[in-house]
Amino acid sequence: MSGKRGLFISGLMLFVLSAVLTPVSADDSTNSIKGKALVNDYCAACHEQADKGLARISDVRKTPEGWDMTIFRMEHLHGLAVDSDDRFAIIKYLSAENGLSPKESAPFRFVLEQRAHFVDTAPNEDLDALCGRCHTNARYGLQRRTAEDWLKHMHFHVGQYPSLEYQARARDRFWWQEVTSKTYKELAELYPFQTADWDQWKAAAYKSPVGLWRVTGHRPGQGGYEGIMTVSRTGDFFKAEYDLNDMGQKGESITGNSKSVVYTGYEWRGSGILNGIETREVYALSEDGNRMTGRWHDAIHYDIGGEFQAVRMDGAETQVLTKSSDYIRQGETKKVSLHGTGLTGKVSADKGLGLSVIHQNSTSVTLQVTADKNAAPGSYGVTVGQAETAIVVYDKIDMVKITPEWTIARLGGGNSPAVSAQFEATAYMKGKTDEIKIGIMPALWQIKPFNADAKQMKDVDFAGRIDQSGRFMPAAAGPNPDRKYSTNNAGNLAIIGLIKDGDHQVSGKAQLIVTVQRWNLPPIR
Amino acid sequence: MKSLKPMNLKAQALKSASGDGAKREVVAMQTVAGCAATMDPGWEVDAFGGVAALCQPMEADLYGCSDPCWWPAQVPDVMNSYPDWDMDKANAGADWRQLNNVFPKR
Repeated sequence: MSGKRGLFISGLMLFVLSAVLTPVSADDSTNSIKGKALVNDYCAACHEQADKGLARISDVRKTPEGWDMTIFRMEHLHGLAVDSDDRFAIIKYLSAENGLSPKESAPFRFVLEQRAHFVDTAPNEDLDALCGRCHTNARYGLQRRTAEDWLKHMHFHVGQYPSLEYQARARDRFWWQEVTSKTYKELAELYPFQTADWDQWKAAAYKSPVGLWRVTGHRPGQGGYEGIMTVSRTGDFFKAEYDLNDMGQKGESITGNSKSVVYTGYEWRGSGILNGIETREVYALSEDGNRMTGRWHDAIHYDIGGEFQAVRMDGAETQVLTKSSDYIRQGETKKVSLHGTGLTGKVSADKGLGLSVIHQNSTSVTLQVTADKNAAPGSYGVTVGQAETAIVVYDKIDMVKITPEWTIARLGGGNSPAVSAQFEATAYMKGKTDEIKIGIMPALWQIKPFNADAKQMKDVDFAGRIDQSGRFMPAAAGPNPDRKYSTNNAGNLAIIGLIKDGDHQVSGKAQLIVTVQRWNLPPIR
Repeated sequence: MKSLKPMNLKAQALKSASGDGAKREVVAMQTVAGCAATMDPGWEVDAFGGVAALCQPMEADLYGCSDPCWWPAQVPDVMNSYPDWDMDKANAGADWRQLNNVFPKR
């Protein structure tokens, strides 16, 4: 069916639904009644009533993003018209009714968190070939369907994208026979619609995020941050106010707020402002409601953001959550701040580290730390009351690893923002049996051609530049008449990070593919 | 093959690979999240793990991808899903800046 024909046919349809979906157990009951009525109103004209609910809808479970993509497809291909308030209520309802449990979404959070540099691994070669050649493995791993519905999913693919039948590497197997006889069953076993875990989570009493939270995190290329988040509730939404401090070289205050929704009892999705930058937040509330983890990112540049973890302060145990530095050189004296909760106890360290307390309260301790010049290289315990952490004493850097080891950046231009790549250099020293991680250190950054092709095409001259925070900014998209064949400013680059260590320097290397933009940008790719 | 002369980088790479016996040693089960490994080359990375053998400049053949639904996860397919994506943008080499993303920003 062509897109135009599909629009014509679907334009005749109203999306009304008379679902007999089971009621939401743990979410707000008013929202549940409203959401169910809206699903009835919008969906039932096309989705007929089946035994347990509406056809297709009642056979599938998805993340909030997954339901958002489904509604978008209904709008785009089948003529659904839904206003933003109703859209929100429907997604909230479907995510509560037919969502994923925390354990089910856990392996695939990288894609929800919009991590541009995550390296994705398929469960096996067949699924890699059949699904992973176009999608992340999270695309199917974040769906739960009945076996019958996984089979319909195969039919959808060949109907909507018929030319996949003849595309190269689709012909390395009898793929249609395979997906309609074997793969759909495999997916139904790997990602089944009905699980005890989901039943249990759906019936659970969800925890509210309202309260005071101790926040710690890391902004790649800029360093760690710490502070406080205060969460309050207004109607369907939560407001978070941030009072954070950068622990890196900038040392700036990071303040702002966000408005968020918690879907499925744990999926925190926020929109906010941090230091004037518009942000998006993707966090998961832990099952006991005492911890949040995830990532926030720039609303336009999803490649820029920060790791995020928060611990509820009420009743929190004594713990060190982060520190301003993980290491000290033999004979060196420097300030190190520990950040956490309940940090009022006595401070002490293993022999070899000298400490004096500069400042101490329940959430932070600032120490003057001196490593004995004869202290053996290795990890030294530091305790604050019952809380334990460690600082590494090193004598010499033996190795540097660059992270990510292999990633891509995308050229930007027109309606496609560039996707940068942020690298960090981590120093290691040799231990008795294995290498010992010292920590992330400032580095000097260089780009070089990765191979002979890259050298011949002068990729280094065209693909982009790296700054001294380790951030690679790709060049402009579009054909470049200054290049051979007017090729794009793509490139295959070696990223070199050099750490100075006394009078010698140690380098590490990563690979960066600078490649072209894409125009299909759903939240789950 | 002996009578054929490579006219672009992809052809050069394929010729040299066939000449020295180089071939893909493993079917990649890992890729950077969201990159298409489908077909040789993929959208982002070529069969040799680089970019020299990609179809580039991409704009020279972009509508050869979108019209027959090639790389539909990266490039909007005009065949079924986004029939108007390239409307009034006949020359991809000149008009690529006007091409829109197809999923609305949230």
